[in-house]
Amino acid sequence: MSRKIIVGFDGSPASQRALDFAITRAKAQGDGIVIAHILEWSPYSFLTPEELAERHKRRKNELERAEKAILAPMVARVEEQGVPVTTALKYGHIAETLVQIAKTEDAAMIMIGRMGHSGLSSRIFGSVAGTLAQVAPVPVTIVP
Amino acid sequence: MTLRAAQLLFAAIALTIAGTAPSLAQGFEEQFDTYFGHATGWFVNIIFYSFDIGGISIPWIVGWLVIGATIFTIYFGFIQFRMVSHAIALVKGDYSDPNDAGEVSHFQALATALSGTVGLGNIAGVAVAVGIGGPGATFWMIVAGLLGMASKFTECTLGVKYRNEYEDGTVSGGPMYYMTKGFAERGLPGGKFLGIMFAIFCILGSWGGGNMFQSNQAHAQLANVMGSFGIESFPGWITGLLFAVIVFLVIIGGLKSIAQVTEKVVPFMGILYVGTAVIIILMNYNMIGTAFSQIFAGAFTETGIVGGAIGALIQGFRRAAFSNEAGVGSAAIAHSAVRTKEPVTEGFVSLLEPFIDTVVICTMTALVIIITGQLVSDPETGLFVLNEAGDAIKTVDGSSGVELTSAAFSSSFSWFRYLLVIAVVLFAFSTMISWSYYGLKAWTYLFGEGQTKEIIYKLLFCFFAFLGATIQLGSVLDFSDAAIFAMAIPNIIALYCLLPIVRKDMNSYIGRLGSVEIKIFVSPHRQPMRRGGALYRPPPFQIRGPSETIRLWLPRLTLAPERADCPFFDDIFPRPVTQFPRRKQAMPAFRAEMRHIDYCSRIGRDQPQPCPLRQGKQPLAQPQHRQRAKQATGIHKIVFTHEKSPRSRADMALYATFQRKFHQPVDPVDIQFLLERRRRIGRRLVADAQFIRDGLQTKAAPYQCQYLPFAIG
Repeated sequence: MSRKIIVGFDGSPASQRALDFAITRAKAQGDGIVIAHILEWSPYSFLTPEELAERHKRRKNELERAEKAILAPMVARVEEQGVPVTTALKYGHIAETLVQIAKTEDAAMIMIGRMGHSGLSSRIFGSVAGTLAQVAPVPVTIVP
Repeated sequence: MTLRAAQLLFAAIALTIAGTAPSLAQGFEEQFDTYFGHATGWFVNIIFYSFDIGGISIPWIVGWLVIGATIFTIYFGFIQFRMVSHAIALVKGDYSDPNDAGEVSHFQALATALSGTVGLGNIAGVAVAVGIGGPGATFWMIVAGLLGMASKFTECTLGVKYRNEYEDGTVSGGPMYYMTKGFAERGLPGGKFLGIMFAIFCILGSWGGGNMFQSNQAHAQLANVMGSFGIESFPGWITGLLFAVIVFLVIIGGLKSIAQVTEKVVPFMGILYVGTAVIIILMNYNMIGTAFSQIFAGAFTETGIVGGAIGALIQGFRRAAFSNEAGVGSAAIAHSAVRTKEPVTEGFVSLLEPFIDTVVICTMTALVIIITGQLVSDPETGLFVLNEAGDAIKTVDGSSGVELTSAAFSSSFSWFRYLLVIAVVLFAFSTMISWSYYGLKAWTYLFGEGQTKEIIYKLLFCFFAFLGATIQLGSVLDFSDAAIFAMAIPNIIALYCLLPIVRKDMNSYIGRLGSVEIKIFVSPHRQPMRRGGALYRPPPFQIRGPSETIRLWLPRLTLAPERADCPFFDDIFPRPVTQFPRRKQAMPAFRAEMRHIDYCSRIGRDQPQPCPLRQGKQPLAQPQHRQRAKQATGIHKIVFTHEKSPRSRADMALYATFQRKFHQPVDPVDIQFLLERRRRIGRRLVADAQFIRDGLQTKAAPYQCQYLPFAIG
């Protein structure tokens, strides 16, 4: 039975490695890949009035840009390898949104690259990998 | 034609101000003040014209705002009290579509509008009110704040309803748009004229009260603190230049980071301010009772202040109106950017604004001033002692305005005066940024959109920011204050004319809240994920495991249910209705049904059984029943959405869900079974719930759905 692997992808080298890793897994197991790109966003952030007025426009641009510049080339790359691929492009808290996508897609696992923050900054701000490990409903693979 | 004339008139006024202002030398300054005072004095006099009643002068504009707010309150049936919980739910994002993440949320619109109103009015204005009107002014300030919530509701609903949405996705909204479009819709004349009038006042107000006044007061605070460090004459042009440059960088240079930092720091300062006030109040907890008795006594009886209880009322109303700007129309511009299909929701959200601004923050300031004993009273008579001039209550150190607030806070925490300066400067700055936008919207309404036109406005704005801190001109400040309040004249006239539209929308929305579709969060084990703000909500027509949102469709009853099959008939259908018209009727029935279904599932029977939860014929709408039902069913929250969902679609969805869930086509027999049971029980709701629960529990073990939707779609 074909399963789905969610790959958290932000265009960074680490996430590239995660995607490569996912491709080899998917090929070996006959799985499909969902490339998920999350734009960090909180509905509780503070904006100036001008930003409020332009928000809808900016959101449209951001989504278009992410689709074209980040997701499209990766989709082509995965398809080249003969692995079935879909994409998910969402706004939200990165780890939580990945979990949501995993749930809606009924995914078998989540794969992400490691950003490599260690020590103080990740202690204060928390890391995506750390949060995912805590809350994910499916196995999480963190690719270094 | 009117537009052209207005442009000319406006240009003339602008030139008068701009052309003569640079004469900064001291001598010229005074001359300019006199000249400007002559030129604009008539306008200020009209706006702040006061009636003398029994020796007390009442500015008519304050009455205009308060009477308007009272009429809106009554017309909308005390909407500000009825919908508060719904407003909070909206701000929390309970009703936001997760697919709209990344758009402007209700919270953001509220926070931005608040940062435009929270400011000097809350710090200095309140001190003036309490200083002149005594503690009793606080009471009237709160009353005015509560009434003002209805004004905000009205203007912000209209602001969103009649905003302009352009092709590139940007929006422009505000009173000038609802004046033009709303009046056209109702076939009323004069919308365009009111819009232009409003826009002119808005631009002048944005340069004046929203700009010059802010930098002026911020400078006064800075100079005060510098004075305490031994720098006696801190020149205004330094503050002015600083403000002008920063404002320039933000609004023309597009330097978002400064604005973003401010927008983040300002709410923090607000919380810190209120927090400190609460601590001071708690430190003097033995005075709380006295303070409140002073507030109530002062509101209704003679306490020795100028004008007695009426004086307190005037001061309270006046400062509340100055602080929260309800009815002025400025908030409608900020709120109109929110992404919502229902303009009324933004109205509900906006009614929290005067509450936070006036009822919470202003009251805190007033309480601190009263509790720390800044006002001097005669120990023998208990009446307040007036100062030498006889126009205000004597204070311990003779201070008034911001200094009075500063003195009150510093009496407990000496460092607070420095914090207050930072707060005042930041509040002033964020108010300026907000007003630069309000003014710009009015400007583009008058002159049209365009790079060059916008730059001209922004440059003038920076210039006035500089001017405000540099000159100490009473007449200019009076005029700028007057311009902001002049906005309320066309705005409230327009609100009166458009009231029926708002009421129609409001009633339609509230009606839909309860009657058609209900959305619930099911949480037997844990709360739905909320961190980061986005509440996870699966799309409709999907059934998932516990602790997620499930959409419920509460059907309109068109068939008479068969009584015999359902022992809960009396609970579910308290009276023979053909449909659930409103929330009031729907809710008890709904709760009874939840209980009933829960019980059936626990005893594991298909056939509905009498439920022990049911106790005789007690009315079901009582809180303890509700609580018990919640505990029993694990449904911890029930909220409402408004989308309609036809029956056949629900059937289709059910079919699709099963197909997806079990990766195989659903046996037609199952569907038949469902339909048959529906006939037997008389309600698809019960049948569906049972059926889905049975199905999921037996066929898909991982989905331990204890509480499942009664119907989906």
